[in-house]
Order: sequence, then structure tokens, then C-alpha cells
Amino acid sequence: MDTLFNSTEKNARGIPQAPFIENVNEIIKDPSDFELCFNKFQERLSKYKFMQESKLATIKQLKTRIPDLENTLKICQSLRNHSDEGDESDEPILLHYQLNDTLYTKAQVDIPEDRADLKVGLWLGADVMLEYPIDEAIELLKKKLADSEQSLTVSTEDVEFLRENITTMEVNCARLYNWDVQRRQDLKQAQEGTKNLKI
Amino acid sequence: MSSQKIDLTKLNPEQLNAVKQQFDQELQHFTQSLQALTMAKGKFTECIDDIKTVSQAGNEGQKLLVPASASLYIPGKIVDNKKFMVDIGTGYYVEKSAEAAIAFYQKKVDKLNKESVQIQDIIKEKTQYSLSIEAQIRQAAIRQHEAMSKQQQQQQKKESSTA
Repeated sequence: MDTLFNSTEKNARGIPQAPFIENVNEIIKDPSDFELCFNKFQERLSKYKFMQESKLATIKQLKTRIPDLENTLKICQSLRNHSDEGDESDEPILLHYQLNDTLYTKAQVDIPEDRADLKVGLWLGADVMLEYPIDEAIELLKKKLADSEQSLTVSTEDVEFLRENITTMEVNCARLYNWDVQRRQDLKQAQEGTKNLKI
Repeated sequence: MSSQKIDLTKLNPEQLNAVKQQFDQELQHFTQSLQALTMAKGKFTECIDDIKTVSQAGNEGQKLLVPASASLYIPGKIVDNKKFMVDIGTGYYVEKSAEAAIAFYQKKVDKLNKESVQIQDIIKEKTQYSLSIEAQIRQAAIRQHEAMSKQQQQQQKKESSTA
């Protein structure tokens, strides 16, 4: 039994593939092992489902985060390009920012003489904000965006893999259950046959 | 309310329970509405406070970190602290002076206040209904209990007379 579970391959993240039961009789030699075997399959199935929920939550979070990163990167690049638009365009940037939910007001950003000296603050999370020179900020955001997109790809792949495995395990559980039902019926018929013989 | 009136004293406990549950559901719905109104009112009040703070005399040209996006802040300074852009809904934004913006939000707050008062009145009314139905349920249960007691007594009398 454990040999069956350990014999399957694993995907790139170490998620084991679900074994498929070809012949139930080969798995369960002794009928009294049914409960143990069935519980193990149920346990594996619930693990897959739990992992799927976790991955789906990750995907949801990334789908929220990636647009924000793209937006932030676009703003930084816009600032940088504005800084490089020639020596004559030394005028400050005017922008509207959100003061509250439905309220906006104006602010201006002065562009320093040395374009690379422009600094921005990036909110990193966990109540941490760091100030970066504009070029470093752009590099950091690009890296974060690439990492997030890769994470999204990987998580999506994992969710597909888990979905397949969940289907396989559900089929396995159904076949085990049906096997047990059939066995009980056969046993019942045999008992009735015995009673009839006695009578 | 429906035009049909029901005499609560003539309903049995099951029917009274059903009516009470209906009132409790309505009560919960109105309570949630009141909470939503309170939250909205809080936000608008915050906007008014923000406008008053920013439009103070000393804040023209005040330095600040401009929130350019949800996670990006740029050092900058306030320009024209007497003008504000207000989202008036359906994708339209209107630039208003500080006084006009405050009046706009105050108007919204007043409207929400009025609606809150209405909902509070409804909640009180339905709470009273719910309590009175509860009292009726208790009385109906007592009546049922008395009726069963009488039946038992009559049965005992019959049995004793038969013996």
C-alpha cells in the first residue's frame, strides 16, 4: 500500500502524482484492510484539495498584485523618461493624487538637476517603505514583476496538476467504495445461501 | 406593510414562530443597512476633515510624499491647497474650491443622517413587534399546556369512574 503511494513521480514542486488503481483486488488482499486503505486514499484526496485551495489563494493574490506592480513601474519609467527629455524640460511634474476615497488634489514633483538623483519611496509591505533612486526602483520593480509573473505561471500549472490528481483520487475512492459494496452484497448472499441450506 | 391584519392571539405557536423569524430577518437586513450608512457617513466626514487640514493657510507649498499608486510615493509639495477634485459619481470629477467641496460633502452627510434616522425608527418598530410576538408565543405555549393538562385530568376522571 505505501509502496503504491511512494512509487509515483512528483512534479517540479514535489507534489506526488496520484496512483491509479488498476485492480482493487491487487491492492486489498485481506478484506479487513479495506477501512485502512480507504482512509489513506481519502486522506491523500483531502491533502490535494487543501493544497489546491492554497494555490488558488496564491493565484488570487498575485492577480491583485501584478497590475499594481505594472502600474507602479509605468509611473517610475514615466518619471525617468521625463527626467531625460532634454535639459530644457526642467519643469516640475504636476499630478493629481488621491487624498481620500472620492477626493483628489494637486501636487508637484520637482525634478533635480541630476536626473538620477530623483528618489521615490516604495511600499514593501509589513509596514516598511524604502526610498530608492529612480533607477534602482525601476530595476527592483522589474524584478518583482518578473518574479510575480513566474509565480503566477507556476501556481497555475500546479493547480492544473492538482485538479488532475483530485479527479484520479476521486475515481479511486469511488472504485474502492463500490468494491466494498459489492463485497458486502456477495457476503450477504452467501450467508443467506447458508441459511437456506440449513433449513 | 401589508394591508392585511392578523390577530396574533389566534395563531398557534408554529405560525407565531414563522412570523417572528420573518421580522428578525427584516430586522437584520435593516441593521446591516444602518451599518453601511454609518460607514459611508464616516468616510464623507473624513473627507471634510482632510479638506480642512490641507486648506489651512500654512500648507501652501507644504512638502509631502505623494501617493502616486498603491505602493509608490514620490517626494513633492502641495500646489494650490484651496482647490480639490471631487468624484461626483458615474466617472465624473469636478474641481471645487475648499468651501464648495466641504458643502458638497456636508450635504451628503446630512442626507445620510436623515436616512439613518428613518432606518433607526424602523428598527425600533420591528424590535417592538418582535418582542410582542415573543410574548404571544409564550402565552400560546401556556394556553396549549393548560389545554393538555385539562385533557389529562378529564382522562383521569374517566378512568377513575370506569374503575
